[in-house]
Amino acid sequence: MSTQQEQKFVIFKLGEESYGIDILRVQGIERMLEITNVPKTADFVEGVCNLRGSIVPVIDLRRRFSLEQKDYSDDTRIIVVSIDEVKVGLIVDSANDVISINEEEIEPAPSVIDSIDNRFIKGVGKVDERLIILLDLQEILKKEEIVKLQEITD
Amino acid sequence: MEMDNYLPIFLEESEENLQIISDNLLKLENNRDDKQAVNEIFRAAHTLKGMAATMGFQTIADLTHGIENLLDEIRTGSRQLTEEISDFLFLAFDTLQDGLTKLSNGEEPELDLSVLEKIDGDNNKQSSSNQTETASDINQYHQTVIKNAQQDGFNTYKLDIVLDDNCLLKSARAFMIYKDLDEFGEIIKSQPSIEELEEEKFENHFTFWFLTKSEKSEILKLEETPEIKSIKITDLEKDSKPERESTGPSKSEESVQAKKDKNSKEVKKPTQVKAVSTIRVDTTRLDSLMNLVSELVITKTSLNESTENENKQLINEGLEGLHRVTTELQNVVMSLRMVPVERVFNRFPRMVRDTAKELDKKVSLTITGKETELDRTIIDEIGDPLVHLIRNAIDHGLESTEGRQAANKTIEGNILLKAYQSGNEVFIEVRDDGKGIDVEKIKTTAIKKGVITEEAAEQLDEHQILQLIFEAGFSTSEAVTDLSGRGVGLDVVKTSIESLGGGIELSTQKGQGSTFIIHLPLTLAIIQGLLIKVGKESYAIPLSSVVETAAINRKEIQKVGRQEVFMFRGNVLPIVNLSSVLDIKATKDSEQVSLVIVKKGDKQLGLLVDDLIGQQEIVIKSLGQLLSDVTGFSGATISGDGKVMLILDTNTLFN
Repeated sequence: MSTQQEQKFVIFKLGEESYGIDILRVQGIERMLEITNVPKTADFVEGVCNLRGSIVPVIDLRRRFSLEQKDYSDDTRIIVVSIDEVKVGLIVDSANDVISINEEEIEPAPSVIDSIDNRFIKGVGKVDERLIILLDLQEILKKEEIVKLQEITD
Repeated sequence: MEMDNYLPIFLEESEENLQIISDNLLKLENNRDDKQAVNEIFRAAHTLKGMAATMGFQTIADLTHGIENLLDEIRTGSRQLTEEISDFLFLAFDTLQDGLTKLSNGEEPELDLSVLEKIDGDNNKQSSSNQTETASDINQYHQTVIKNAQQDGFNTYKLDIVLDDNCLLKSARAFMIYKDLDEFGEIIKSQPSIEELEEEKFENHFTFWFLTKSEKSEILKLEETPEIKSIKITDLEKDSKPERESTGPSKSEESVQAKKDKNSKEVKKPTQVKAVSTIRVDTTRLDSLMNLVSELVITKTSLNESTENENKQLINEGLEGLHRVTTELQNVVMSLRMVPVERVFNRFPRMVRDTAKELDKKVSLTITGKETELDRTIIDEIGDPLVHLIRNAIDHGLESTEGRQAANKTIEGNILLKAYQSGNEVFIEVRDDGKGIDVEKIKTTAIKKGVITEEAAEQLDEHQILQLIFEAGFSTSEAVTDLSGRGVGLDVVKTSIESLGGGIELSTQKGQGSTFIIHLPLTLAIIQGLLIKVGKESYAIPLSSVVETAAINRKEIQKVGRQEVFMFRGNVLPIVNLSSVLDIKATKDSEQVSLVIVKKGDKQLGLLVDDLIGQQEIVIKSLGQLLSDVTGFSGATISGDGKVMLILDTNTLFN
């Protein structure tokens, strides 16, 4: 199999569902860090944390996807990603896998998945009968939404 | 093209040379006989020419060449420095600056060389009589140098040196001859070039053009050196100075002696540029160094906190060492970031000259303390406010020439630009000896423009009325001149200075002049902060905006309309409850609360907080691009326990 057609993804879980982020975007996976709340930001912005001396904003992905809230556990991880030189931490239920998905196995987002907003999904990957939702990070980190209080939730 | 790599260096060095030219042009304007200044400009122009030619910017090279030629004639006295020429030089300088600006914007440095035509035209007329046959061997520049040297009492020779055919180390021998000659004179040109000599790219014959105070006999001694076959000495004088031919083949001794050494010294090394003792440091490197320091400072704080429970002696020792290192490191890094205000101040003499001409006023600018250092981020920001204040001083501050005569003052107005450091702040004063500011007029203007109501104005003392000048929508200018009415007022000056963590004060005396005093922090990276607690959260407030703190009883807070206020030292102080602003549930509901009184300009505000933690050195870190639009915070810092603490921007609370 040619490597060109393969992409590596970091796999994490929110509830029962598996999600994937392009590994090239991932800078590290951290255990839960202490987070300082920043007032006047969207409610999915959990706050900022200290990542070895630099300040990194943290987004709660459950809240970003309007999923049911769940307490943080030992498995909770912060995946630090960087897009266009913006570094952000994403809080997820657990993260423990890196898998390769053949490009042929990636399909456009089906309308079947209604648990999260379709605009966050770049596609769905099939790996050994598992379905992995591949996320569009650009969409998740829309700046205007992060600062303004979200009106959708009202 | 590989040249692109050198472009930033070229630009930066050209900037330095332009600055030298600009400085000395101004000097020349004050004193037309300033030989030193002419030489400085000549050298700078020469360097610039060389660099531009190397980089392939022909128009810049041509223009500088023109300037060089003109100056040379002034230097040799064949032309007088008239006002016309002085204006030419300024014009040529502006054209050059234009070209460099174009270059730095990535455009082609095409220049309008019409200015050059004028210079060149005159130049050719002047120098045609001095053209000689030697021109084929040596270029005009060297000819000029030779001419100057002769006037300053040097003997000028062309030395044709032939080495023995069996000379072994030719280049070493040539170098030794070069060194020997250098001891009693100056070799201005060599053929083949020194480089070629070094690389042994010559047969056994080479030629030096040589300036010396010594006689031929001195040079002929070299013939005794082994491996030299012959030295042929030609006197250059006859060729290049035809008018002196009549006096004989050798230079008259009297004129040699009559000249002062002082003059000759300047000519001795005509191609050498004055060394500028600066270091260029990549700012990204500085920033990473700064980050290291901030981490060290954080570690220091955390160690500090762990003293309470662990092996005290050990921690103390480590702490002491760490403390010393961080302090030193901090100082070193700071000093790297510091640049003298000279960088900004240097552009003002020219600006004052132009502004004064424009307004038809006579102005003398005195600058003191330009070696005072400030953080380079502040330096970059402070230029525009200063430009505004100085223009203001010339335009509004100083009287017209007639006005000054009538007031029994010197016709020339005086502007003083002064910088000095005091404690952790740098002060910059802009003082004029003009008519001063009429307090009453400010009051009426302010009322007229609706900046303040008449009743409110009555309550203010003189000092407070003066401060109105910094309010938005205020301008003291009666008529809109070319200079005012640029849409920038003193309020903008004040805001930009405050955004740097500084402040501005004004004092004035009628008929005596006004003084604006700016104070700025030395650096923006590490500040003193007051740590406070609201609910469970801790925040830092920059100490520079804190007036004082007080413990008050909650019951004493009163309401005026919907605004909570507190009577503090006889003044009504508006109160802001931080827990409601920050949307934090207060944990305590005790009677006693703490008040942090903060200021923005003259306004004061009391911040209601749950607890005061104390004062600490804090390292300012940015909240990052994603949160850059969040209001109310100027950044974040990391506390001793590794937690992120937000830094309140108290200025946003005033509204």
